[in-house]
Amino acid sequence: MTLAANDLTCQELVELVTEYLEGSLPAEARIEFDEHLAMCDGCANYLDQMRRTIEIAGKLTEASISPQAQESLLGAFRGWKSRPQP
Amino acid sequence: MLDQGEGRPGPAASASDAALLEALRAGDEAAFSGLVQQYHGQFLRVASLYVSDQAVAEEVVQETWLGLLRGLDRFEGRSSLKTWLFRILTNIAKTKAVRERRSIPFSALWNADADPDEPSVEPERFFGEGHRWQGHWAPYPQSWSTLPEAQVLSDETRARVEEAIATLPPSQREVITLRDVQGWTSDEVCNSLSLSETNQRVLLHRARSKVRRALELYLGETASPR
Amino acid sequence: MIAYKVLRDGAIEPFSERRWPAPEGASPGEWLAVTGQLRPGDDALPAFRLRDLPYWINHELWVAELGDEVAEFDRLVLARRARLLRRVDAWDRRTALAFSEACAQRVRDYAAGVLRGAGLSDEANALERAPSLEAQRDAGIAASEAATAAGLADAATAAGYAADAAVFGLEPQPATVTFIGAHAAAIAAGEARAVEASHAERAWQAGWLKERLGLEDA
Repeated sequence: MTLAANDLTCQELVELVTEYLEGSLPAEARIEFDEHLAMCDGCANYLDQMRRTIEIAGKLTEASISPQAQESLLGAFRGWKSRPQP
Repeated sequence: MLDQGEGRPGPAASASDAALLEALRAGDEAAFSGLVQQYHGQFLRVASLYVSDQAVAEEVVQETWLGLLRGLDRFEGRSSLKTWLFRILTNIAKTKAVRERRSIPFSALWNADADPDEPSVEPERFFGEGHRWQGHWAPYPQSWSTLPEAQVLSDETRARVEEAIATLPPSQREVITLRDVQGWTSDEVCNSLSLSETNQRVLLHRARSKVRRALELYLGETASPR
Repeated sequence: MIAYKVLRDGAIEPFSERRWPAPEGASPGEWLAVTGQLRPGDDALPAFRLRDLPYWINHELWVAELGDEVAEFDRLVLARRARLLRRVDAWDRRTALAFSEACAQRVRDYAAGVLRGAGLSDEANALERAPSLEAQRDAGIAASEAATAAGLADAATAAGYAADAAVFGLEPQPATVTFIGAHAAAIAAGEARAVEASHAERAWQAGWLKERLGLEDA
């Protein structure tokens, strides 16, 4: 069917999600993508899931440096400070 | 000898970098301690991309700072401080990884990571050929906004994401760690990993797709039935 | 230039999540301004002409004023400056249901035509007589199954659309229903006139909104 052949499918959209979020989709593709989102709650949910995934990844906790390691490095810095200067 | 070079030209040292460098060269201990604390967690995470042993990863981080001191006088600011430190770190990590006999995730070999045609979502999730909605979602993915916020942001959920990232193929793991976990820009990642923008985006896409899928499985298991 | 915005609760633009400044009392909302190229993306402000609305309509409908330069695309316009003038209060859930039902009933009629043309008169009649969207859904499914069993692909598709339109009409998800409507019109018109028929259906949809909501052409 000619009409359907022009439509962006959900299966195609999910492969474009990263480019969409990076802002690197060409103009026409970007509009088609948004148009599809407007009429497809499934893809709207998928995009939201992807955004949440990225958000959670950004909240992963980082280990803190141990006081001993900090002390040791400070010692190294002091040693470096007193290096012979030209 | 380990290459402390500044590597590929990229985003140069910024004004804040310049101020920090000046402080360090002047022997400002607070500036040095602050820098160490700021980057410790990130560096540990990055080191863990290359070496499996946690203790070895901590050594890598410590040695990275020593590397900073050794190269501080000579550093010209052609790359950003972050990129330069990253380069020192990865060089040290890769050397130790070789000694550990662990395979090294060189990003240049990104092709080797995964089946190039692997789809982001299993085809079974969509209506198949011949259906009037071919290519469209069969059951819709769930809206996570209907889940309790506390669950979505819980420690358990974060742990699942952490786990999903840890099991990614190495190059995908590198890119998603730097971009999404540590918030590096696309340019910074491309320069640090010597990737083209396209390659970086493909790796990021695959990584994110897998992590989303793992999260979907977890949240789906724990969501209460409608 | 006057144009329309579809926003979620709290005057939030769907998908970009950009918050639009809402009008206070009789005063328009503050101007929203972006600097950047007038191309689709985060640096330009999208808005819709009346004829675009069927593709996007959902949530809340607002009238907006666009300033300076605008770039026109097939389904939307982009502006660098825009502000909300007022909400179209007449577009509420009840109206969305009415709109969706009206669009879904046209899908029903298109499907009945295709079924009849394929020789499935009983199924066509049952569909046409459906007194509610729920009944339309059921009749559509039954007709689609009958058509599939008889190897009549287009009739099966059209009947399926009638069922789908009813399902989404019940939510309502108006932009999904209008999409199905365009496809139903196309399949009823046949390959040669498919694109023309879908455009005509979109124009009908926009006309319904214009009349019911008292919208001006944008």
